[in-house]
Amino acid sequence: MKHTIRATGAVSVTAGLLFTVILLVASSRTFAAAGDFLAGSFTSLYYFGAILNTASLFMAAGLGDAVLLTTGEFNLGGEGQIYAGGFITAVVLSATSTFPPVVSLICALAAAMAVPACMTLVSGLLRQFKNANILLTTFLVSAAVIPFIDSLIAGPFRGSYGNLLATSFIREAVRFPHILAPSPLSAAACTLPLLCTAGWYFIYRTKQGKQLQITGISNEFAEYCGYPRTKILYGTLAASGALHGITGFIAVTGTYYTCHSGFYTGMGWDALSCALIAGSNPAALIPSSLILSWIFTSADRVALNYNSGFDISSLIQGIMLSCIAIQYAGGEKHDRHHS
Amino acid sequence: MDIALAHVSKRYLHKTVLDDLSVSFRGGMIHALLGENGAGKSTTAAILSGALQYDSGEILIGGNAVHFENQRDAVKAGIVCVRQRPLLADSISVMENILLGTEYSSAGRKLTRRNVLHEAEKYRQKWAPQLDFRARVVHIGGDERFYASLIAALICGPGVLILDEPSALLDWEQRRALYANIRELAEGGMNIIVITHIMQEAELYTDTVTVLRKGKAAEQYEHSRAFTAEMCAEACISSSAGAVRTSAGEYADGECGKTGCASCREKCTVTFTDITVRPKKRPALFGVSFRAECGALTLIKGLRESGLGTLENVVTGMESARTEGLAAIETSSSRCELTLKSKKLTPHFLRYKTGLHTAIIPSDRTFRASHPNLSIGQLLCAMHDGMVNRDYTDRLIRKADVAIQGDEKASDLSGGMLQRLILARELDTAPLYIIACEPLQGLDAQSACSTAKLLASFASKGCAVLVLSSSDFPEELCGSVYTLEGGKITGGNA
Repeated sequence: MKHTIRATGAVSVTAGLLFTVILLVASSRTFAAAGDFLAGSFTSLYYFGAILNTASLFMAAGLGDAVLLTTGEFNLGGEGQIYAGGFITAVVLSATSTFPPVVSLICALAAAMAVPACMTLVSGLLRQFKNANILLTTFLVSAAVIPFIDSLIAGPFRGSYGNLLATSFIREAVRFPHILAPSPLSAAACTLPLLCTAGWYFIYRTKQGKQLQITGISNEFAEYCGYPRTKILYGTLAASGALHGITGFIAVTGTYYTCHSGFYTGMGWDALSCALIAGSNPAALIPSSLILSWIFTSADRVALNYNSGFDISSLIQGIMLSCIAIQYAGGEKHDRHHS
Repeated sequence: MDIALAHVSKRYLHKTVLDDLSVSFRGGMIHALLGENGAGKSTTAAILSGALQYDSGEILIGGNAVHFENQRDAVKAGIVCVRQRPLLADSISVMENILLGTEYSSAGRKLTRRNVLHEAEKYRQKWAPQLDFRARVVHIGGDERFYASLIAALICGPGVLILDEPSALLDWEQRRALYANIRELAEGGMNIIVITHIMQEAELYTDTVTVLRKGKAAEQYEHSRAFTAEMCAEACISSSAGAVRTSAGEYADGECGKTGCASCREKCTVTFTDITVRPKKRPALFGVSFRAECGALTLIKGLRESGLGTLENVVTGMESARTEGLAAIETSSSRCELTLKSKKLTPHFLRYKTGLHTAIIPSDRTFRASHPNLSIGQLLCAMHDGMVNRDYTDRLIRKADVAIQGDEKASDLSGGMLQRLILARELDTAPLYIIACEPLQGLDAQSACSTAKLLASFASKGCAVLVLSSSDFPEELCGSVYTLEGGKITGGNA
């Protein structure tokens, strides 16, 4: 199984890279764009910092996906949860502007974790009492929350500057500094590999982690073993939501310093891709996030510099997710044959 | 269609399963393939049906060597196997599962949906009239899973039909009907190979008997009448280096205060009163009451269609349907009573909350007590404190006397090996209360005898042992014997 996961990740990333290079060469009829795609981001401090910063956000959100994937469930509502986490961070920081910065940040972090966790608990309740599919309900809850937050940002919480659809900028004292200027890499981003390591330790080195893994393999066996399935369901859902909330918190306090409308776009799917490529292993999330962040940042750079008329990032993501899906289905079939 | 294996060997990383095996099966007959657990019967079936590649040797059909890359090749050559643990997709209906497995017939032609539906209905009426094609597989029992796989196999029109432990999940009545139908197929020219542990079955219903021992054909009887249960028992006993242990002390490692020392153990009695449950599409129970006393083995015998499966779900805390009734657990220091309607009687409660370290051995070894995708380490350490522990895993493997490693998959185990490991895992917790459902299912004669004695040994050490069985569990070992019939229970005395 581990071999399958490693192969899935490698094949997906390679397919994404190959596709991009071929596309760039075919569209520009030169190798310049492809060369810039592969190496250009490392020649610029801005883009290098952007890779690390985006990777850190993928790590936090990917960890949220990985925790739930370990138990055999999918959280497709990542984007709404990240958005909710970011929005509530901006609102709480604004509301506690008279508080000491540390208190203000702690309140914002707690709120940013609690609100998305509550969103996922709705899915938990629907699963427990109506046997609803978590994949579907997390997506639907998220889909309902996003326009609601959009309306709040456009309405009562809109900041008073220009045409930007965003909340007020947070005060200087609660901003995590950018440590690789002029890039958006924030100091908070450095903590996220540690969070992934802690996640790895929890899943692979604790009794509770073992229970999550076994639940992911067989729900019926987990119930038979007497595992606290309700606690596992709500615990992993809440953790998943909270980790997405942390992503929103770091995006607002470390990258954007405001919650602007739609800042989450693509982040949930990208993080889910990272988690799938990492085979839901939190330690493997670190390299998978870095690689995907490099690919997406480079794709955006090339799109800007070479004036591409298409959304390369989305195409790459589509290719990689297709590879994962095909190999996942193949792996399932293989497992069935060998059982 | 005649089929033979010539000098076939199959080795895994840590063990040799088949060692230069040569055996032949003539068409138009029913052949029994017997052997102790781990003798290589299921591996032989898997190789014949293209599900497993062998390392050396060859498969001969009508004297010509053939090679199967996969099961489809075998089906096209006319060989179909109904596995001991049929893997069906739970979330779709029986008919959809049948359609999935019957794209090609043995003649290699693609079967149309219409053909499959027509054939399936024909076989259902003859083999399993009670089988509901529209039912989702998650809601059907083990016997119905078997019939669904069997019907899918028959639709392919095989020349060789391999049945791996066909009667493991069937009661006596179903077995009789099954063998009567199989006989008709054999008379029509089909070559039928039946893998079984039940010697009486081999003697009564088959034409030839082949006994496997450690991957080799130990004895071959051209006429089943020449084969007697005593002869096979003798053959098995002489070959068996390590069968299931029969003493509770051997399982408990002599830890005082646990199984080994009766004087300092808690005593427990479990009483169920007026269990009534009417699950959808499964047999109901009506006012079932019984008591499992400490120091005695309590047997409830019955058929699955009499509600034995439903009762198993209730007593193990796995019943999802609304259940009326009362469960009372008394120990020397406390008494706990709960209504079944409250759904508080769960495996979690039985294992961790009552202080009884309850051992639960369900009848579904494959998907409830285990899962094919689990590693052996995960399977054995699932209820052990902490992470998957190599020392603990190895200790249980040694105790169960199974040739396997902790990093291998549960799918690599034969039915009997899996049962031994489950017994070792469950009984290692020094339980005060043991629920054993179909404990002899899938075990060879000697292992079955040893397992029955082992359960009796735990009872004699002060455990309350509840056995639910649809096969012949030795009643002389039991303190109380109940009979479940039509959802109602009678009896209570040995």
